[in-house]
Amino acid sequence: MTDVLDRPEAGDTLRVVGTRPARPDGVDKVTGRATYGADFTMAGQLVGKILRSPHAHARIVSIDTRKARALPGVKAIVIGTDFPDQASEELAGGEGASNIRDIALNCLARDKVLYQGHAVAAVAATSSSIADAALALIDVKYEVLPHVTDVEAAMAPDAPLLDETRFTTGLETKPDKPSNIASRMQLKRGDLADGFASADVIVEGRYITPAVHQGYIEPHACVASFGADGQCQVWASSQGQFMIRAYCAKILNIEASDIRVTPAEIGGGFGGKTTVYIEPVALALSKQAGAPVKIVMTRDEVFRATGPTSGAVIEVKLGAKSDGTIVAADVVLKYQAGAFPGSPVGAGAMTALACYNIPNFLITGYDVVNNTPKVAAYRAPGAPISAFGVESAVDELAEKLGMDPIALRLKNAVHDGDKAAYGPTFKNIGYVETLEAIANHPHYKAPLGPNQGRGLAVGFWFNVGGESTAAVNIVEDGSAVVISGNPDIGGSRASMAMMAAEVLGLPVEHVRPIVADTASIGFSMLTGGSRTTFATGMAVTQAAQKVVEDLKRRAAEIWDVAVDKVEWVNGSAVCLDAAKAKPDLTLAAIAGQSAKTGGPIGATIALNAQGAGPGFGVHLCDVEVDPETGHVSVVRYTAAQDVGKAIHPSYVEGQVQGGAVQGIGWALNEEYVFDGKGAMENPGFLDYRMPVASDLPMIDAVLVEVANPRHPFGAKGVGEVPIVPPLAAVGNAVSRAIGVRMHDLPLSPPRVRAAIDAG
Amino acid sequence: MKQHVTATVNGDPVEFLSDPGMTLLDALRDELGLTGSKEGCGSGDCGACSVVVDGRLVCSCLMLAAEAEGHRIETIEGMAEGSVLHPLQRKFIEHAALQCGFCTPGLLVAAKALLDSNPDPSETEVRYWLAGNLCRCTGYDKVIRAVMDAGAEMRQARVA
Amino acid sequence: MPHVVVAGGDCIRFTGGATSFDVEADTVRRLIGALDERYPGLGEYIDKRMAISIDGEIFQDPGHVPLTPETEIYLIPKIGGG
Repeated sequence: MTDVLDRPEAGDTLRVVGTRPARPDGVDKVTGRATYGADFTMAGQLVGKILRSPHAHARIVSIDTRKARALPGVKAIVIGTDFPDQASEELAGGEGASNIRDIALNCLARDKVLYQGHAVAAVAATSSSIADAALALIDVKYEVLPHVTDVEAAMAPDAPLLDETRFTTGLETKPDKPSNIASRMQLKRGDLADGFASADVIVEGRYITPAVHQGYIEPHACVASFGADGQCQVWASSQGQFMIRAYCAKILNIEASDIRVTPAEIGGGFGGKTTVYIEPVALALSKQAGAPVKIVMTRDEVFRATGPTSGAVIEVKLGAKSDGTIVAADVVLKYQAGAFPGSPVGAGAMTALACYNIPNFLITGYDVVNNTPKVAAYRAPGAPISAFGVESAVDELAEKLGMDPIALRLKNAVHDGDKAAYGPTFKNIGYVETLEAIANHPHYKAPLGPNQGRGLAVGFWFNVGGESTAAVNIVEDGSAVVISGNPDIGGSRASMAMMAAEVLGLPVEHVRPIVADTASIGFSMLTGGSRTTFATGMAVTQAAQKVVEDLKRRAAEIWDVAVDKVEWVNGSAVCLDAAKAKPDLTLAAIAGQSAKTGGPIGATIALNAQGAGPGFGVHLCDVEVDPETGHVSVVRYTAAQDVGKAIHPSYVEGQVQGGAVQGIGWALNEEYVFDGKGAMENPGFLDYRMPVASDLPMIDAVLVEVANPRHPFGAKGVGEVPIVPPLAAVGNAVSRAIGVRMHDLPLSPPRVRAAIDAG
Repeated sequence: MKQHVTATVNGDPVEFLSDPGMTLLDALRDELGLTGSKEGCGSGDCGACSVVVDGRLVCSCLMLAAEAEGHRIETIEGMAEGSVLHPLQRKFIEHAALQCGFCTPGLLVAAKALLDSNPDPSETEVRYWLAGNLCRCTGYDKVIRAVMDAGAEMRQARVA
Repeated sequence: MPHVVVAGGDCIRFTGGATSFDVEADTVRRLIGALDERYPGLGEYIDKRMAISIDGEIFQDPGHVPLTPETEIYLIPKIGGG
């Protein structure tokens, strides 16, 4: 299939796209009827539970399950060696490439446990209390090993090794000693020494961000049924039913078409539900038990064994001319990967300087394994971390130069035709327009009160397209059904219906969008990377266009005119052949006689969408710091973003507001805290403090529409960008409020108070 | 030893058998099939399981099912009158105050409890009242607007 | 002949440190084949781990895209998202 569409002619007016209709799944979700992962029940289902390691790093000496098996009501017990052996193999599952052996080992450990909470065994029993009792009867003998949770400690030459066979890749010469540094990557341009030599001003800083969790409110949940004939069914809450199918098939060595995965409604993901934890385990238990098995994680398990994103150390050195021209940048990124390689340091490195034109730079990134949970994608993975360092340093540079922070960024801004720091040449970007939107916003000039500070930061994300399938079927009464394969996390059913309605000329209420299971629609990559409205929307639009072409052909046949004499206008065929003077044929009229013109009306499009335009965000934050306690309140927040064209502006605003607030939480409150034994000390929402309603002001979302010419309606991904700037926007606001540059997140009251005292 | 419990849920009499450790949330979801109330944490921190017991807003994950004996419980399933949505439910849809929708039942139950006791809350009052209901998707902006707007509409309806 | 620049990833473990190459090829598929011939293993690495930017647009799987001598090609790590 071709993957690019021409834009509608200039001057075309859109009826549906850009309006704010009620979402098609709204009533189900406000009445409690929507079925999420844990809400699904199957007759005869067993309760599955997982035994987890109490140690951060240990060798598994033995696992004795005999007593547990003997307990009445216990129907199955599975340990890591019950999974087929896996070769180390990269599998494209949606989040770039993932190593299937690592994913299997993360679902159930084999020789070693690599973090506290690592799954060791699983049971299925007839009740929750019997399953709990069975877990307590499993006897695991561990040989406890020294552990390491801190990223720089893990990089040290004498650090405890998670894997004695791992040698750092990405170095010019092969190292002779194993290391926890899985890989090193570098991006460079120009000559760093020359660049700094020509600088009038240099700023240098070392920044730290903690590991944080995606914090979706719905814990992971699934029901799995392994039939005696080998046919498997899985109901699960995830960001991609096809991802679940692919991973389960590989891990359990089952033919993928024998697994049918039905997507439950998903209670938030933010990247954290782009992999499997419990689904292969539930299938293995179901196979052994001969009955369906349901596994629902507790919040404690979610914190200890899923997510988070990397904790990191970011070192930034910038050199600039006295007029503000940045001439050199040296950025070092050290990202925790958790138990297995795969931190988002690559994206962190590529986005770090993406907003800037800098002639000389070196960005060095380290992917470092350590004894914490295997990191999972989290909204613009890697980018908020490097942006915190770079945007804090740019703010410090602005202060040192006495320059307005927007003026400094405009002076160094990338434009169309500039080469991005990660290589390619930018086209059709809206960065300068977004900076100007904030410069011209009343917030930027509003006076500040006592103990208040204002921070600005920018952010970048690539956005992606990828493979999607969608079908548009016309119903006999002239309404339509749109079928796609992407879980609806934040309103994508609405955008799919709107794009189809726009093309078909139907009121959006007459288009019913469905998210189908893996057997009912062709493959789609998962919902993530801000790809669904862009890529799946492109498939939906093309399918609707194909339907319209078919409808025109049918009208021509009914009227006995040439097909080029038929035009599709507002949901009806219009005859352009003046001699025939036929009254318009509505969609319903054509659909009602479809049997006479070739049978059912519908089209399916499968494509690999290209042309996802990159997005830029500019955030402005006012804080007030209580000098007595160090408590920081966000008192005003404005977030501007180039969004291409907003299909449903309310849900685009929602992405911007929600992303900003997740970033505010990262800046002010959230962090994984480990004790001396490497155990997480705050695995609950009381101690892992996410923002609540009373912490926040309204979040003013400013949508800057610079259309993406590669999408039929000009759309681009919008969900990732808004979490990139807030860490630094908040940090810069606090730094300016108290007159001390803040380097470490979160900006908790004791930390801010200590900075005030030291400053 | 299971205990026989009788209570009123959304105006209707119910009875079920409760394990000693069963929470009201478990009873609603597993015994009565009312899965609109969600478990996000099981520790009373997220509010996704909010229900009203004898007029008081509680986290149903923190209350034992056996304690429901003889009490009147209202859940999200009882909020609409038949097929007519409550103004809060309508306003949540209208303002796009939900994204994934998982926290929505709890937020709606909590917001209704607020408006039942304080028909004209300030934005600050709404924010503090809903501080026990975590939402990770929306940043609360549209949630607060929806609650304020629903309150305004309900006040107007009362005058008219 | 198209000029290819490696920006990120750890391709250098195959190339002995080289990060830019001139390659005779008229499609991306042939270009990857030629690179693999020069540096065995690099082709598979690119297929699995790298996205390809062609004249400023990032393609995750661009095998069929035709190339001219003026085409700007960057190899960058595949991008996921949250």
